Amino acid sequence: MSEWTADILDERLVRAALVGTGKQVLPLQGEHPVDQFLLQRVDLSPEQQLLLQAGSRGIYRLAGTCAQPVPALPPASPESGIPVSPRLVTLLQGAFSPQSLPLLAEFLSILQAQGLQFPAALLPVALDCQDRTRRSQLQQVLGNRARWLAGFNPDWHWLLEQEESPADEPAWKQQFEEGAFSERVSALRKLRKRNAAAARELLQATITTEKGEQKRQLLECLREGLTIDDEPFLESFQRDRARKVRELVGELLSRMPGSRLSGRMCARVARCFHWDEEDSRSRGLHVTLPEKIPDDWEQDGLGADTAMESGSRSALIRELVGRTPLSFWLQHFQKSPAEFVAGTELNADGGAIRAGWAQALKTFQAPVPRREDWETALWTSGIRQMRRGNPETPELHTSFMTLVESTSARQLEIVLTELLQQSIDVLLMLPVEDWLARLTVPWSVELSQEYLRITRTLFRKQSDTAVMQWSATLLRAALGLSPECFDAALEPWSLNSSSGASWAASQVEALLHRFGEVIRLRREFREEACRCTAVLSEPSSDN
Amino acid sequence: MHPILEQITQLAPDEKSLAAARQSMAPRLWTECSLSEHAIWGECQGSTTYEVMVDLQRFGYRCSCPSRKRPCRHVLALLLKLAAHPDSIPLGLPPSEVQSWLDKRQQRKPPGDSLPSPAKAPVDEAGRARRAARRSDRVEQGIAQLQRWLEDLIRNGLAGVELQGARFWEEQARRLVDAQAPGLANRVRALREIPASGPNWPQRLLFALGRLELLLEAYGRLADLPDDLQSEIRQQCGWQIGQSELDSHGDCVNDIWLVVAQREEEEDRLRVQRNWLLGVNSVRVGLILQFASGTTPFPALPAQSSRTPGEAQVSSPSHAGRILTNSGMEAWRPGIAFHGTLQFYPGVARLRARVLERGESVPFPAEFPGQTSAGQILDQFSDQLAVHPWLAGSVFILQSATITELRGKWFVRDEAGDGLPLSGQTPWRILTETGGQPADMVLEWNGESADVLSLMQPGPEGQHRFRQIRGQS
Repeated sequence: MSEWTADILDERLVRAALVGTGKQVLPLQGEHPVDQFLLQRVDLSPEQQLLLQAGSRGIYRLAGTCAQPVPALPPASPESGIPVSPRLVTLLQGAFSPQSLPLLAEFLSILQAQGLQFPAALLPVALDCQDRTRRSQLQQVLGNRARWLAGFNPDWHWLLEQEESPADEPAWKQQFEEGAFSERVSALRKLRKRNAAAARELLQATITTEKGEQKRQLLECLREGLTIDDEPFLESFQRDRARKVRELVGELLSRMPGSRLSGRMCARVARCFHWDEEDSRSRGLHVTLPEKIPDDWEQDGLGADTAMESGSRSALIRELVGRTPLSFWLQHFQKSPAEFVAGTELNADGGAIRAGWAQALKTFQAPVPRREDWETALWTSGIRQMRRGNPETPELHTSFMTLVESTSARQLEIVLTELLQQSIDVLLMLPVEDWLARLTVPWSVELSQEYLRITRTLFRKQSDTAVMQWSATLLRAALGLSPECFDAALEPWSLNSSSGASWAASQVEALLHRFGEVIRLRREFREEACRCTAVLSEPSSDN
Repeated sequence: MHPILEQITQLAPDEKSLAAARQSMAPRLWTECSLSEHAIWGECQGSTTYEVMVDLQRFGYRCSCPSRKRPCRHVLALLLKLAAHPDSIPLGLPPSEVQSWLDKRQQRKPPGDSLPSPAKAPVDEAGRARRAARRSDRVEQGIAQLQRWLEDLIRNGLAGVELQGARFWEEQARRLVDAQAPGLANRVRALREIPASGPNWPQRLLFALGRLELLLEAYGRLADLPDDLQSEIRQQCGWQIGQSELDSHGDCVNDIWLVVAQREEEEDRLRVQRNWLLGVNSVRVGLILQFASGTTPFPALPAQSSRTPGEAQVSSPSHAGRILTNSGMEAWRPGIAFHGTLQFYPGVARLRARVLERGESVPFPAEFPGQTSAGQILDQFSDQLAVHPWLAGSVFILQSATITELRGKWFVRDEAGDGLPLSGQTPWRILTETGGQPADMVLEWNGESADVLSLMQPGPEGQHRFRQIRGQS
């Protein structure tokens, strides 16, 4: 019996079963070998007959399945790295757990530095990762097998995004025109990265039909590869109905070196700010703002938020300074960053001016002339203000927050090391735990040593809230301390005996215990990674 | 003799006790539960741990709980477990306290009773036959009832059955449990997964119902069938294999046994662990079933025997009934290998087995026997179906296999280029492990699709890597 005939018979049988023998009885036709046997059984009801036919045909089908010729898949290219040990796989797997502390970045950088292979067993977990930061870290260490694997699963295509070819451009354009909104944004971002002008032109053709928030998200894609060519297009949104669109466009135009907006900001600074050299008491930078905010200022987004906590004058100064390129100050006034900062310290508007410079450091991420000098001057001034007992000044806190965001991790590390070398008092007034989180892991040896020294001293000598407050930095330190300081960190800790068996003391002890665990885990990972590398480099015993 | 639900209901002192017993049936409450030919015992967690034992031969019971009700909820719960899930209770020899209680019961015979001691007691053949006949009647009643249900289903038509809730199938399954045919009950429960499960569901449901009808038909003609097939059909319906039947009809195979795959499943509040073993020399595949509840660990590998492997080659009455203990031993896991003897349950499949004797552990070999082509697997499966038409699936090892994709469907491919479709299983784990290179794949074939359970691949410097792909489903 051919396969085709069998299919027809099965179909007839199924149809009869679906309709029910109460409505339609399928007579036995003797076409199937089993039918002959059933024809001899006169005692069977039509239902039994149909079921026995179905049962035997089901078995015939199962027994008669044929294999199907299928093409082979090209295998993955061999991996080039050194294979890792099962213990290292276990440690790395733990770092992927959602409950784990953020150790993955460090572990991945160790794998990369030692030339170790990312273990195959963890590839599905790694490729399922949704976090953008983690994905960019993983992109550095995932090898040939991961890229081969990612080609089969659309959810894993993110790994191949950097390897997209120019032929993808029409596909992105199509996706931008036909896709869901998130897909359109993604397509536009990819196109902008590849061909900035093409992305702008694509957006230009359709953006007028978009609503406020969508318009903002699409314009946000232009942040990548921003040039003066984008200026006319962006300027057309300076009077957009949506405030968020106007703010974004203002920021983008400010960041654009040589833009008309940037030129207008420089001209305003030149008009309103002057350097007083004459009087030693009033020597420094002074501001004279117009009595009423001119219309052209408002059109450029200045003075839009006058109801600010520090008053409209301070807010206006901060905005104006923050949107003026720092290079203009150096060229126009011919002073160094240290002189500028010192020249604002006796000025009532000084806090707002310094906050504006900090904002400018953050806004103009592109190379800023003498950036480190600006950072050092602003940090030193801020700490000096803090010591003078003026910690509540809103500008100061705003400056610190903005400075932490704009300062490079290396510079921040230097600032923190200096602060630790001086005294812990100022640090206890600041959100140090957040600052530590911004540092590159592992920390420098100097910072690690200073951290351990000051923490041990504090824990040994004091038992007050300062200990409790500082202990909040322990886990951050456990994740960041330099490997050269692991032994020092694992030496026994002594707490002030007067703290006794209080709840606070038990909390600090628990944190110290966790601190030790994390340090030991980091040390074990490094040692195991070295062992894997050493195994490969050992000469073979046969030789 | 195994009690039936109706008997247990009658035994209960009141409704409350029966309701409480149903609560105490929860598998997580029971440990050390075991069954011999004459007794069942276990420890139940109440406000403390109670030792519960029931003499099934000369019906009697004992429980260390303080309840004044007789029998207490714990005894009833143990009997209910036996009636509902007889297969989940491992066979074992009574521990000393249970044995001494049984002995005392035996000695407490009425004056004038001249029964010999239990060790030498002749089996009450007439009683046993009576009990077997009674159970047989119940199973037959259950089968007749199932037959009517199937006929009604076909008479009314399968269209619309996909709208029926779980209760529609569960009610029928419960009736079969009451009729002491838990095997048939499981088959009915499995049916409920088919309606609306895919475009071809009416055909799959009809074929499954048809195979069930074939089983009922075969049960009705049991006497005309060969012994092995009779045994298989009885097991499919839910009859348990007793120790004596296992000793007399089960065959013993001494070999180097490799644990090549393992899978864990949930079945009616119980966790079931399926371990597939492959005999290196005999090329036999054995299936060891283990049961556990809640978070209780599965029984471990039996202790290594001091006996040398050669001594266990032939099954002999001296050790045929020996039960191996489970506590404090190595856990079952794929990738282990040992010398030992498996005792296979009687039947045509001869697949389910238990470890009769475990010798020394050996390293997992770099190569093991298997099938070289998809065609061989299909041929062997056809042969197996010819003798065992109710076979749900069978385990094979396809050598030098790869995974491949064709028009969005995934296949396991042999060296010659023939493929078997993969089941719903995603292929990522297999692709990750193999990188597209050939590997020996342990797979379960059910006639329609393959499920890769584990694989072995040559590693650097001649070492082999064994990887489990499927653990839990």
